[in-house]
Amino acid sequence: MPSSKEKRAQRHQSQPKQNIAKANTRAKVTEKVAGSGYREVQHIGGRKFYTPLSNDPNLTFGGSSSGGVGSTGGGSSISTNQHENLYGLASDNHTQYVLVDGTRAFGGNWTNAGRTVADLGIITTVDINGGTIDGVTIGSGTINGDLTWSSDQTGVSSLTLANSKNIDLTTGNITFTPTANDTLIISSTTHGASEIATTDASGSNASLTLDVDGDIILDPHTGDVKLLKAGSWYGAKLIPNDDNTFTIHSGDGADEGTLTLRAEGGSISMASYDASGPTETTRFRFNVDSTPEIDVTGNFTIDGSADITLDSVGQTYIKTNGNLVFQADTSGHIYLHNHNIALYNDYGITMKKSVYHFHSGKADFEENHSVLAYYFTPSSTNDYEAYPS
Amino acid sequence: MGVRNTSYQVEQVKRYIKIPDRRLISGLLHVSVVNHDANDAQDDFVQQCYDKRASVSPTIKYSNSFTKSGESTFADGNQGFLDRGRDGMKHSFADYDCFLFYVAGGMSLSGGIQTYGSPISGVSGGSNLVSNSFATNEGGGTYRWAEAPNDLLTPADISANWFLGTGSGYDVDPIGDFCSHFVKYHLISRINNASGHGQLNFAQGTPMFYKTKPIQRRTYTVGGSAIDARDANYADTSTHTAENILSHGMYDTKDTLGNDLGRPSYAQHSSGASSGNFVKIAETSAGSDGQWVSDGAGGLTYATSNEGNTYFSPVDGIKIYGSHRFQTVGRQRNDGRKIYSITGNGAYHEQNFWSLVIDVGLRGNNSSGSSSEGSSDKAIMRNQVNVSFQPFGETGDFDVSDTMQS
Repeated sequence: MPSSKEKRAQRHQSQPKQNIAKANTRAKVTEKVAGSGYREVQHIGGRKFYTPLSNDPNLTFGGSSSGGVGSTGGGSSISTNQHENLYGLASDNHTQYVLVDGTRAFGGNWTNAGRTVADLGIITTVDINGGTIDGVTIGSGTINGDLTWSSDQTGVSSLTLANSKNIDLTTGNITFTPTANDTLIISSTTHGASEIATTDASGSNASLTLDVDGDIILDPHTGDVKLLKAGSWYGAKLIPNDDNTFTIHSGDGADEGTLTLRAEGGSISMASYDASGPTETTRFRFNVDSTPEIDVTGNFTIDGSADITLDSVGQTYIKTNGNLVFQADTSGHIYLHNHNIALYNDYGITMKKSVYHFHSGKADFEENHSVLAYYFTPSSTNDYEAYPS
Repeated sequence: MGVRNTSYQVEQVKRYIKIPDRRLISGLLHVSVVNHDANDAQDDFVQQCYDKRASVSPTIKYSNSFTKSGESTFADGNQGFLDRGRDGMKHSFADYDCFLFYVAGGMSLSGGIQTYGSPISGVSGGSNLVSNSFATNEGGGTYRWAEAPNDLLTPADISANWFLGTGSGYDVDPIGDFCSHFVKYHLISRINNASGHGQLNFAQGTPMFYKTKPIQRRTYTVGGSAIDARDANYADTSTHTAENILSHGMYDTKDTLGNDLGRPSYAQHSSGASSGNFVKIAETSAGSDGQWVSDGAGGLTYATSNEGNTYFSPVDGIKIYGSHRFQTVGRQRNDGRKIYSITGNGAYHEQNFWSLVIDVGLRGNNSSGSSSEGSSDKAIMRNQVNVSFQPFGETGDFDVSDTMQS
């Protein structure tokens, strides 16, 4: 229970009388204050300064020359060593101090260099114009100016949004400038038309890489996926259709386009996919090395709605299971079944076939013409006599 | 047209062309046969037989009538070929025989079989066979043939219809077949180089080894009149002969202008050199009587020397016919009576297709090696046979095989 005002006044008046000694200028003197403990007294410049001593190990004092007691100018006396007993304690006449109740602002610029303000609480209005913001969580707000990383590129900074929070821009961009004049700009304009653009001011190394753990999804709702070259569109596009079909397109409607699939010395494949398996089967493999070849898995049909033309500069061959069955040479000769007459051959059509050489017919019982031919010869001397010898 | 087979030995070679039932076809059939072994270049067979007459193997020299005894020129006293003056000419290529047939017809397989009497078994199984003493009942549905106790009746045997044989001993197969081939053919032409061998030798009773397939032959000769001299192609009225010969065919020694083809076209001895017994193949007429006469050296020779077609024809004859697989099976009991079936085990009757048989009879050896007739197991000289058939008609379904199709 706090002491009454009268008792505090009595203690204030009586204590110095008991222990005051002739003060030694500059020297510290330890005095005992009745009922309060000990203090150190030091005369500096004609004034007395008191330092209370405590036997409480948990009690600390800021600085080394003053504690929670008041002091008086020369000739003044100390009436109490308890701050709470100070007279006029509730009067706000120390304008050099800010008040904890926030009723008085700083009177000038406040510099707290090298110090940490552990918790500023809630800041409703702030104008941060310089310095570094680090480790801050922003709940919501509007950034009226540019949000710019340090121009000297020396800092490593990150901006983190809490879960489900957004960065909302109207007409501004998100710009990365990893090196001077080299940028990545994410921008959006009317109707939400947006762009991710990179710029390499001195070259063409501003690649854009999408490196994701998962799918990369391009989802044009009504249009196509268009591929441009240096800002110009020549008609190349990927067209997702309204069903499970997909089109790769070349040509802009005005000029015919050429679609090139390119592989360095390997092959280009087309595969079927059975989702129920799931299994993938390569159906077409286009070997694009120096000996191009199409390898097909499954029955292969060329089904033309008009003419089908095979046009070779050299000879034309058709094989069945690796065996040559058709050959048209550059002189217009046609060879069937790998026929190769060793002597004098200039036939339009030649055919190597045993037994069953030719058939032409309409149907059973109707117009059948065939050519059958076979030969035989005794296979060993057990089947024929030798010439007389 | 017929065949007088005076050749003793024939080596038969067959090829089968599978054809569906009742399809009418017609077409040309070529058969070409030539002696050679990997196209070896040798003297012709006749010349070699003369040149090496002392070492001709018995299986050759006894293989045909040309080696009949009593007409000896061979060292062992048997008749052989005479010197034709072609030694060293490598004319083995001339030992060929070529045929062109026009073949028509087919085969009907739809008539089915004809039986006699009622079957003694059938759906009732083996019990009827047991009651008729052709089988024994082993119990449990197992039966054995009475004639062969080790033979069990197969399910086909048990379910088959068996017919008792006919004849006094009931042992003659009673099953007939209405299937029949209707394949006919003409030999349009046969060409070889052997027509000169003793065309008229029947007068001597020694037809040599040459088949006598008659061919009508019309011969046109250039006349000797003044008008003939102006037109080299003018011919007298043809003479028509029916010759029992191996066809020589047309053989030109002059072009259409009447110029002799000479050495670029046919063999001849050089000017001034001895021609020996050589006669050009162009000389085709027989001697005045075609008889064999003494050659003045203990052998025989032609009465005339103006016959050059004395090479070897490797084919004896060719037959063309249809056949289908038909085989009955017979079983007998102790008293010799037999039963027959067309559906029992081992029997078959194919009614879906038949086989056109190209039956080539090559001149064969006499495997006995003696002058008595024996069977043939080899062809005389290795030969190459080429067959081409160009059927036109109601089917294109053909299958060629060395054996009869099943």
